[in-house]
Amino acid sequence: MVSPYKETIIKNVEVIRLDTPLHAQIELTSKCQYKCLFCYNVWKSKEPHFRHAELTKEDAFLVAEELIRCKIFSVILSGGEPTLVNYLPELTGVFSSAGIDVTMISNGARLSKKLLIDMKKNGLQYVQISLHHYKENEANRISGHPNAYTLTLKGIENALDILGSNSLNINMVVTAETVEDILPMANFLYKKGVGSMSVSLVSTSGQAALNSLLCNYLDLEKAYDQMLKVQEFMPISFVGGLPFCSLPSHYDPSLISMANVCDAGITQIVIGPNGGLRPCVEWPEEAGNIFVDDIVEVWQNSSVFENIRQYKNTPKACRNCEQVAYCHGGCRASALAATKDICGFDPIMRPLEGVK
Amino acid sequence: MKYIISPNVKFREESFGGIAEGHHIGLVTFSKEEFKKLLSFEQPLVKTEEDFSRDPFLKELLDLELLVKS
Repeated sequence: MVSPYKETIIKNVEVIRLDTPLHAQIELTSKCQYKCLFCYNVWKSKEPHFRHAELTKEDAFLVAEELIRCKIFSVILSGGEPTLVNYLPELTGVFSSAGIDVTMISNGARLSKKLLIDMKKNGLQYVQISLHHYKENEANRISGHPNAYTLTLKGIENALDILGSNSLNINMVVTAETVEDILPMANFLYKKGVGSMSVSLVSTSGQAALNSLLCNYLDLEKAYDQMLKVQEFMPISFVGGLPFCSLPSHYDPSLISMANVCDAGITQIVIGPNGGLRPCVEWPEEAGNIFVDDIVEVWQNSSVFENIRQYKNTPKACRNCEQVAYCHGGCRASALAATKDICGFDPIMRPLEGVK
Repeated sequence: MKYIISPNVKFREESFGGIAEGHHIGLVTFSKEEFKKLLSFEQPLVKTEEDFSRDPFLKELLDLELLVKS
């Protein structure tokens, strides 16, 4: 029998090798009405033609055709802000007709009941809306928009009404300034009827470093402690790779249930608003372009994907850890952004004794 | 009793055999022979309790809720 798993450079760690990706995220446009202080979109720092990139309807349908050929199981439609393109319901229908689950990640500002009804009719299954604080002035300040709180809350209400609480998740990006506010945020959302919540610790790969908002391992502990309390009344999970050793109780099964084990490049691919192919949304390097290259060839053979699958990007100091198979030494994109070294330490990792 | 692949599970062929994924089971891999057996349940198929007790693989499919009653 041919094994689905292949060896990595780390002893006893094997990784599944799939012919094509299982899950895809399409960044339909780089445009967004909000100007979040920590926006992780990697094109923010790139040339102007990247900053204003958008898939036309024809482009997006071509991307869909390629992903259907890959027989993916699910797709996430994101941006920028995906509701700024005018073909969302039709694109949703193309995927769902092929048996592919469709999720949308949105800031909620343009989530009208009409759009949600159209998308639901076309097979939309799940929406994730970003709301970064339960206090109006804080939410507006963080999102860089004077009406962000009101607009996003209206979108959340509409999504609850049309899709129901089981099809909605609210994501809070947590910064060093707001890390104490996870529990009150969860209480606020629960009272609104929201059924689940996720937490992203602010990413180094975006604008957060410029605004001194980055978190460290002590912030991660604070987040984790509050999330354990939230779990008692509402499902909650982390988004993004996590260095498990940053937590005192990193062998606790409750962490595994909350942690988002990074599947970038293993089962997941991202298609940017210019067609660029990347392992994850925070990864700056493109392995190819869907309008130029064969996506299957890029998936199977590019060094960007191959290095992830072989754990070549994992810090040397992490390679003997028994958790490395799950945590990869933390988020590699964050490590790259923070240290300029793909094998560097994730900035929220607890300093290892005797290791610089 | 007739059994069918759970509508909550997605599956596809791979060069090593096949895979299936669902919220409760995560990712499951199959050899070519196993995957062929799973695919035989794309349409409802009659199986008895004895069939499941005789075939550990079939029993596993049932335990993982990859197969459900049609």
